[in-house]
Amino acid sequence: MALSSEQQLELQTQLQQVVVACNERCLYFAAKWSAELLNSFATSEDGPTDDGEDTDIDDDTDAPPHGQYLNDDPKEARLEARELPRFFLAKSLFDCREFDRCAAVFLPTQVPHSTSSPQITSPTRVPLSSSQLKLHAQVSSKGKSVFGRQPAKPKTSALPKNLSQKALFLALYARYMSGEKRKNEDSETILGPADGPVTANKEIPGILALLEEYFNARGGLQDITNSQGWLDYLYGIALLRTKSDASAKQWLLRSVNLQPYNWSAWLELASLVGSPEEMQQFSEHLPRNIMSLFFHIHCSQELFQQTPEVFNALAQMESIFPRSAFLQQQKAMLHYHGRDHESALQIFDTLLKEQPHRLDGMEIFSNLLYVLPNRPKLATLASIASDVDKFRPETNCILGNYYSLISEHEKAVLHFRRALTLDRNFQAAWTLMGHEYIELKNTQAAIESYRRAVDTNRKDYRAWYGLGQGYEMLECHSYSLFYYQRAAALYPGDPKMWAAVGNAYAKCNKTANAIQAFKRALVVGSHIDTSSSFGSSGGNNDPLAHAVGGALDPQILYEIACLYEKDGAWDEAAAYMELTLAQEEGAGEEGVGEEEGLGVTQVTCRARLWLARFCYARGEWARTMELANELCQDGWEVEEAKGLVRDVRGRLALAEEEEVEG
Amino acid sequence: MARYLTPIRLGILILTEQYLCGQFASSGQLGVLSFIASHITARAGPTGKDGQDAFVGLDAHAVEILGPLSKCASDVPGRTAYDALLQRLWKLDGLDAVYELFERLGQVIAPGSDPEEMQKVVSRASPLSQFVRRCSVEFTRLQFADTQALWAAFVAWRASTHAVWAQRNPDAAAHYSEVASSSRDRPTNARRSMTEEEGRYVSAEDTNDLITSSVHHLQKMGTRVPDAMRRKLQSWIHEQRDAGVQSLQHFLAFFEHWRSGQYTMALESLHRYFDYSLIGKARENQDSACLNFALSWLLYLRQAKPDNRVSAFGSVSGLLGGVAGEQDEISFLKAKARETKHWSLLSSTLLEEAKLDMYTVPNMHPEPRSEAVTDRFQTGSTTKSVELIMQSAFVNVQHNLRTLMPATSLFEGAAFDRLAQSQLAARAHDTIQIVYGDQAPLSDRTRSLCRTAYGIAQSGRCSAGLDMLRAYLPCVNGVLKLEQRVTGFMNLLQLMGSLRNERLDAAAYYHSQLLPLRSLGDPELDFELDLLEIDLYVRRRDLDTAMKAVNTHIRQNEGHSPADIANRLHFLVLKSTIFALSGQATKGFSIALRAASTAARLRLLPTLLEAITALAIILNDLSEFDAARRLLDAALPMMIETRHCRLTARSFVTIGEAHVGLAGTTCAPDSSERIQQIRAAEIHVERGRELYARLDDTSGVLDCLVMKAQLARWRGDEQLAARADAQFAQKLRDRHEAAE
Repeated sequence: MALSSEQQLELQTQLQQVVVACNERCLYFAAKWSAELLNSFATSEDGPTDDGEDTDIDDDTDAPPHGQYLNDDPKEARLEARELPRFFLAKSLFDCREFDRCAAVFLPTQVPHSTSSPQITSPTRVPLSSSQLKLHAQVSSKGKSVFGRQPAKPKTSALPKNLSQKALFLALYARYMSGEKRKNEDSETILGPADGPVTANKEIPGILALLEEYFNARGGLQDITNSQGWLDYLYGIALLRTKSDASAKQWLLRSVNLQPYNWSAWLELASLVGSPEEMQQFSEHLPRNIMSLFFHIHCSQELFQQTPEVFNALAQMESIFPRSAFLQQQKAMLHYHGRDHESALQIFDTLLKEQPHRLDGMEIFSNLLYVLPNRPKLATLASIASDVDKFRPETNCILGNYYSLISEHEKAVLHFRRALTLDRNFQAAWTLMGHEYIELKNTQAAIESYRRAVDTNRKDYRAWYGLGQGYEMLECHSYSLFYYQRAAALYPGDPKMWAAVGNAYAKCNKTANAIQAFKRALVVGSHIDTSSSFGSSGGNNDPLAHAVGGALDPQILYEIACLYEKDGAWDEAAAYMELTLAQEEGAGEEGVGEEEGLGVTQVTCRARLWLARFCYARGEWARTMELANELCQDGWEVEEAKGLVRDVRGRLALAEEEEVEG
Repeated sequence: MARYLTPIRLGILILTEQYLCGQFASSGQLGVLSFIASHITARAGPTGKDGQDAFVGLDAHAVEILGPLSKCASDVPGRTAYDALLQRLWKLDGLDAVYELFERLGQVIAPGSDPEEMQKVVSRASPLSQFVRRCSVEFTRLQFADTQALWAAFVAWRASTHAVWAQRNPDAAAHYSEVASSSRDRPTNARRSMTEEEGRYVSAEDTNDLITSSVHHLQKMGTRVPDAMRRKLQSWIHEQRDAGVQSLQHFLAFFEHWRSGQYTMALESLHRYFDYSLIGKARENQDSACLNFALSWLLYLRQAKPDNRVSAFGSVSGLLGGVAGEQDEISFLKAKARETKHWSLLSSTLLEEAKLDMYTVPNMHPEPRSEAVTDRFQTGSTTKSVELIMQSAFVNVQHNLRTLMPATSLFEGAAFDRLAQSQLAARAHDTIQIVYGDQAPLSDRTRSLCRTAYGIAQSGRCSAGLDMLRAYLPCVNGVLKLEQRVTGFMNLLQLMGSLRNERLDAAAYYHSQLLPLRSLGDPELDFELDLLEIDLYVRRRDLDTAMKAVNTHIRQNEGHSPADIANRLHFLVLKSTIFALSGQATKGFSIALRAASTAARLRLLPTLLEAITALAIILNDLSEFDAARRLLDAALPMMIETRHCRLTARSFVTIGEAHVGLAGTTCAPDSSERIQQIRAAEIHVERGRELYARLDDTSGVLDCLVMKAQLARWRGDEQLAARADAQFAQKLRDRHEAAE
């Protein structure tokens, strides 16, 4: 999907405009993303743009300033021109992180912020006690109940007339940021008593009220004629923070339709997508442009969809943006989620080499190196990251991973905490910290960490799985079942999830369900393994021909067998035990060297013992002898096996005697 | 910068691991082990004899440090331990390899005291294990960025061995350069390597040791730190983030400013030092040690400046809540030192107490009324102080307080001097010179040497003492105060010698040379100078001035307690002597008697002997010849032991005079008894003359010769008389020649 040069030029112009617009609105992250994209067109194209420099300058001289490129609306342009000095002031204040003062430039408030909480409640009421206040904050943060929302409205919403959208956005965004800042300050220590949903952004109700009024005055959700899309985005995130997902989705959709190059809006939208099906529903409402493709790729990556279509889309985008680090990163993450560690490693390696100062997404790289495991490389990555910036959450995650890999879990926890202090919404750190707390046997803290991870990103199957693990350690099996189910639903491609679900079912005495879950794990697990061996064996008519030599997980087979045994389905159980045993040897008949079995393991030995006893009970003496002798050879459960042998010999001798006598 | 770990130590750790794996041939193992040992125990303490040497190689390259290993063999034939080590050094290919190294080292140490496990690994208590464990602990404490810095420093450090290693291992070297070139283009690496080039990586502990050692050296020598050294130290200090070093750094700066004459800056630095170190000390030790330290300093300062009537330090005991004087302070300090196990403080406090006991006696007043009170404490202050000194010596030995041992010996010597055991005192001083030698603080050595030289001079060998001092002078070169002290003592000895020779002009010259020394405020020097000064007046027959001087000194000593009681008594004796010389012996009698009795009570034997001699002279004047003779007979053995030649000589002559007196008063004329008395007188006078001759005391010899000639004439032995006359004439001629 190569673009023609005019298309590309148009795209470049749009990106340039959006970088300026985002910067004007202090949406730094989106600006950075767009600017990165702007610089990732093919390098050969740089030549012509360099040549066109002169013309660019010429354009600049007679064109209005960048900010007004987007302004087709003369009314907005007039307003913006009139408030330009004030806008400069507000922008500078925002850049200096004086959020309250910035907001006050356009939205003058009589009361300073510290006394704003009485303003939220109605003034006629007597001051509330602190516990009531907390309750109140919780209710209003939920925002669902009508009762909760009413006092959240300020008594007067002094929305100034004749304010441009840009100015209003900046003011409200500053208020939002000020609220976030206060929230961070009030939260105090990580996992402390004030951390978490207890402390909310107190500015949000005010922002919501103002925006509601503003949009109501302009025709509500349906009327998109006179909006630039930025305020919609802000309304969307404010709604998102109050957990009004449905309306947030609507407003964010509206925003991306109006202003498609605001990547932050896309990201917020992506966080609302819970499943591939939902993504399908979404795509109907999305604008048809390049950004929705990015969105599609990002969502697929987040939802672990390693389908060829996604890779196709990626390849298409790469042909336009061959130098895009973002695309590389998405690709590497897709490979990583698809367990193609080698390719992921390669991509990350080149990415790191090309842009050594770019730390975004590098915590995923460190996860990958942790899983491999590759200590030297992880150490190198850690030193690079630490050199670039010691106080980035990504760096601290990498360091935490490294320390975890060398079994220094206390230090690892320290670094994850540091990462979270730097950014409380850094979801990866929450999950990883949970893992560390599991290692340190601090189940409570682990559960809380996982919970926070899940609150930040509901699509993190590891965190759900971790929650399950935590509850399993606390022996709350039905809880853990619930969480394991969530994990398995999110990431059905991992047999570990299904095995965990099966285990949890078994613990809850739901044998039938457990067997089902285990079988699912088998299917998922074997799917990965046999996909490669299908070619070699060709059209084999025996469905179980592949199910030997380690193609299936003996542990799961054994578990299934045990469950059947518990259920009293002896034949089934015996069959599964035989299957477990079969994993010891390769698919021997063919004599192909590549398929070697797992050899004798503890699980197969247990299966053998079970079978020996089973045969004994059925009176199949010869088989019993054979199995028991094997056990003696392998040196497992020797006493038990010898006992069996002796018993069988005795019986055989007796039988012979009887025969002789008879 | 790491607190302890340095690239060198990493290298030693790697070598240790190799050694423990048995990678060296049995012939080379001893060499390797001694190499390791020399590095892990190099620095016993900054006060060590080779304190300076210990820091050599602190910033040296790997080649210089590891070079000696090439003498040891490894288990591969043809390769030395050096090669083996280099191979391992260069095998570390990244930060992770360092972590792995420490993981492996952690398994080397025996986990417990189980004897079975000990056979395989290093036991926990061995020096090797202590080193490894210390390094491991320090490594665990490092932040990641510090580990990175350590690694970068290590790479820089080992770089000097690259040539040797690459020659032996070309394949590995090729691989290495490949990897290195791929990672070099990382911008962050380039940035770091630039900063690493400038200063070598030194651990905080090394820097601290170095500064401590420098400060020590400065205090000892009073010199300035060389510029190059100072710059290097500064760069290291700037890399420090550890605040522990900060305070000493300011102390160093104080010395620097002081020496360069920037007194305001020096004061500022000193204030800074005290503020930082006080904060540091208080934080570390919850304040008490700091307080005790300060108190002991104040006590010391007050003792060092007894003349300060309005003492700035007077309020210390008030601070502590007690109204009583030093005794309270000392007992407080002693208790605190025991509590906090601050042994050097305990030892020095004991010494201070001994000094106090030596100098003063509770309720020591001339009024007879208080005599009854003092009698109850009649233990003799010197004996008690000897006991305290012994306690201090015990503490020193028990806790290896090397710096305090010489001081204790010095006190011991002084105490023996006061008991007139000059042999023992000389032993104590010899101990300082011979046993402690270079390790003793320079001031203590100087003090003891001056004392010894003075003692030798008193026993008559003035030039020997002078030679001794002259030979010592280069040792104190550069330390102003000590140099002044030594030259002061040399002048004292010269003055003493010229006084004995009756070369009064020379004596006046030396006296004028000595006068500026009074501003030093050294009580010991002052006292000796006072004595010689009075002697000078006496020899000039200027008795009025002598008397005035004595009276001034007595009055000065009267006022305040820390002054030495012995000095006061000595002046009293001198006063009585002057009375005797001026023919008013009876006036001096009571003074001499009182001084003698007090000295006897306090066991101040040298003073007692002086007093007794003075008393005997007075008794002779009063014609109480028998009493004088018996008194001196009793005192003579002790007097000879003190080796105080002049006193002994005078006593002999006095006994001779007493015998003459006895011959004249108690014996019948021409009786054999009288002749016996005269004989005895002659013998005693002759012995006196010998002693005077040894002292080179011309006037004494002349007096004796005159007496001898007269006695001989009286006996009718003209030959002997003529010989004595001839000797007399010869002596006079000699003197004139010497004068010319």
